[in-house]
Amino acid sequence: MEKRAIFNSKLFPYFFLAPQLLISFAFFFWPALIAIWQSFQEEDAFGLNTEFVWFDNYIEIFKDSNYITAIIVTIIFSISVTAICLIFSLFLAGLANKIKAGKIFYQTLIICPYAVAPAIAGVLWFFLFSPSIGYLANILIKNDIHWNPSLNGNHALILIILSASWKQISYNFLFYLASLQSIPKSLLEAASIDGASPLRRFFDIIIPMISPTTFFLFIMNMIYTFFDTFGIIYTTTHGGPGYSTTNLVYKVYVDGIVNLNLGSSSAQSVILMIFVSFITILHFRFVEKKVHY
Amino acid sequence: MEENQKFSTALSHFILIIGIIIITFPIYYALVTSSQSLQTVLSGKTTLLPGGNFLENYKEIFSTNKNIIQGISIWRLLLNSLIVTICITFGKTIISIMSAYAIVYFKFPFQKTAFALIFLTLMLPIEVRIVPTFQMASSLNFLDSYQGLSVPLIASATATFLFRQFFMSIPDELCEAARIDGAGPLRFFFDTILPLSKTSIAALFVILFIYGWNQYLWPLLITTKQSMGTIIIALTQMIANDGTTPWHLVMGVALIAMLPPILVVVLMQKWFVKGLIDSEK
Amino acid sequence: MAKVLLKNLKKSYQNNQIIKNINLEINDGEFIVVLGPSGCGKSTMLRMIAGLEKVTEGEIYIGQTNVTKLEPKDRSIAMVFQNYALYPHMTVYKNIAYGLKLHKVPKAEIEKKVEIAAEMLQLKDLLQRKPNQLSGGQRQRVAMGRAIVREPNVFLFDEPLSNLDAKLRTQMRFEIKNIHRNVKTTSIYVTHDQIEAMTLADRIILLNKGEIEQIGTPNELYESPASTFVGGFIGNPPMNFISGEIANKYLQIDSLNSSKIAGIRPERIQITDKERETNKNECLIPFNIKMCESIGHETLIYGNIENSNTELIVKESSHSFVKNKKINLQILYKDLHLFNATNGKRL
Repeated sequence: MEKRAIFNSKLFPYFFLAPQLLISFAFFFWPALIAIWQSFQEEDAFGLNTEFVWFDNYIEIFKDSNYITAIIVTIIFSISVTAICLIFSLFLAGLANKIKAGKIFYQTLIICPYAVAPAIAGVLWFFLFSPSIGYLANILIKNDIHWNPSLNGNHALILIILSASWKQISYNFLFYLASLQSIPKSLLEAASIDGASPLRRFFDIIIPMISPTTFFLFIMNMIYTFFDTFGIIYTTTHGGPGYSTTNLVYKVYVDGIVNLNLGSSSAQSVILMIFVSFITILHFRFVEKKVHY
Repeated sequence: MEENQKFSTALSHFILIIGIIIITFPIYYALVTSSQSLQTVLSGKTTLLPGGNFLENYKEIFSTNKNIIQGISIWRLLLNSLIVTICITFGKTIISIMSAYAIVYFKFPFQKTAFALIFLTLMLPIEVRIVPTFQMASSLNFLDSYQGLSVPLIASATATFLFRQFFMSIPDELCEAARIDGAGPLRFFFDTILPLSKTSIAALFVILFIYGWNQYLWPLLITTKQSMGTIIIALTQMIANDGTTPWHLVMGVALIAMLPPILVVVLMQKWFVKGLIDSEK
Repeated sequence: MAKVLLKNLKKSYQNNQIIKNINLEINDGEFIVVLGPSGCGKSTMLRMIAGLEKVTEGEIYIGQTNVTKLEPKDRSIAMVFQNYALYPHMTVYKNIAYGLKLHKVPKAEIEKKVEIAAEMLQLKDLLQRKPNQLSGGQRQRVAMGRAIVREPNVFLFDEPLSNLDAKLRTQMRFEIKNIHRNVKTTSIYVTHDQIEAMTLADRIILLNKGEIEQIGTPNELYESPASTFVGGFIGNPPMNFISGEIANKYLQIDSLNSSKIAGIRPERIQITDKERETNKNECLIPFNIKMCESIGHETLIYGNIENSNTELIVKESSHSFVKNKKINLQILYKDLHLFNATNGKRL
């Protein structure tokens, strides 16, 4: 699509584009190129010499069992959060769509977690589940569950999954509610005249009608769990115990900033960039298709 | 049928209320904790009802002589957060509305390239280029400064796409009428495009305010001085590993830190919802 | 006020010729309607005159000035768009005044001009409203007011009534005609609606595939169409065409053969009881009625000439016709139009 009405001016568009492109070059493209360059280099322990090592860094990270763990953690984490968010928020949105009075009241309370910073969300949930002082941890311990996320990797993983899901439900809820509201009433009425029970209507009409939203939310939740959960992990588990809650982005941080292993950290960054590019293109392909219909 | 309807509506409300209780519980519990004494909190016998130390705790948090957070007054931290958030929000809005205008309303060499470059930034979240971006910022002397906290976060494509989307929906004839009326590109931008974009700008304001206020990884790296930290950085630094964390105060500070974005979202809810849903279409 | 002159005007997109060599002279104060089917290039031509579309080849003069390369604002034109193109965030007053403000007209003068225009267009009570508080007809009036206050040399209208309902359209047609009578500004009006063209135009330009088929008064186009295209486009229902071979059987015209086409308007055919011609000025054609449609005051009769596939439409004011009946049609020779069968041009 292109505008028919277009101004003729030679310098103007460049002038208007300049700020965004300048900042993009300084803080997006140049760092990205540096990351790619560094991913092919190795620095000695003192940071004095660097050597061009081709794909050694990449081979190293895939030999690193911690990296493999991080991949597994990332997959479990992302899939769990996505599933919890999709199911729970569709359920709530379905109910909110049914009622007439009080919709805004419920919506207002449900979107609050969206405004809470990931780091704060981490602090709140960390506290709730702190052994001996946290309210929820105490309930678990009273029921003979030896809850201790600082020693038990599974417990730690459950903790970050809950915190991350809590924050993301608002987002999913808003999109599902909008999507449900856009289903034409006549469609559901036609189905009930055809004799479909409420449950049938849900599976035969509502689920297919909202499937574009589901796909979109799936992608957005993936991106969220990959890139927006650093604050949560940092404040609840610090990636531990061991590497049991270190996802791929957290590992980039640990290897690059804490362990100062630039080569490996950069190689991991490049792999993540490829992953995001793939997701972004998938997303836009899909969006374009939707527009054409 | 009528009875059935009533029952199912009541059931919906009931389940929604349970859902809301679950969702708001962590925030409510923070409020309860912030009204207890530290002894009660550490004893693990906190009830679900607020205690009697509410005013006392908040007085301590806001007192300027005690400075419970690493020797920095909470006012200073809130001010830092506010400045950074405002810079990010306004900076991002301004540069994206400008670039979107250039891309939609002009034809020029390298137009496609410019658009592709902006699109490409979508694929480079700060988390994946964290180390070199940090090196870049430090070579520009951006450490411990407001520009360092805000500028690197300013250029992103989502806001540009939102404006582009909106501009595409403005009928071509409006621009043609303006050209016949004698408006040049700058005039048209200020007299027509800007006033028409009010709703989009409001929606974007909410989204960007939350984005800016809630930043964590980047401020963590770019600040070394306590006095340049944001409220959220300071909050997490209050938590000690040795069991001496003043949880009653931490929860108070957490509530204070989450209040501005929650207020913005709730008060501007209509625009926020519209903007969020429009920006992803 | 000024003449408008188009010299060898051409426009192409890539290799696609939209406007093919148009030459045209529009007189001072004249109301010209550019008529044609969709995609004939009429809007493109108007937008080229407005300066919104670049000219591929040729020249445009407004008055004595060659405006081919001038910006729209420097051409002394005003334009009314199909979708009104009002600024949604400005009041009616500001919408009308905006162009004057940009041309640095003093404030007092702007006020006076807007007032006069508002008076003329019955917009006085609406000046402080925003466009979304107005009806379609009112919006179109505002768009017109915006054009009038500029006091341009030329008014350009791009299908201004297409978004209105039928009743409003008739009313606005009158108003446009009245305004033109008052201000006498040269006007170029693009439409696909022949009623608008017939009622408004001093002269109609009928455009087809980027070329002018005919220029003339509404009457000229109706009475002596320059081609089969014009005959088929103007008039409702369209002109009937009979190939020379078929016509030759019934019409006593010299050299009527397959290289020619005869045309006759449905309203000029009469149904007759006569069995045989009574004078030299008329001829009779046997006809089978297939279907009749009554549209109240008149009836459209569809059918074919006996022993042929040639379909005709006849417009009659009486009502009693029976399907599948054979009748005779009476045609007067003076009502016949003859065209060249290969290029469709009038003979």
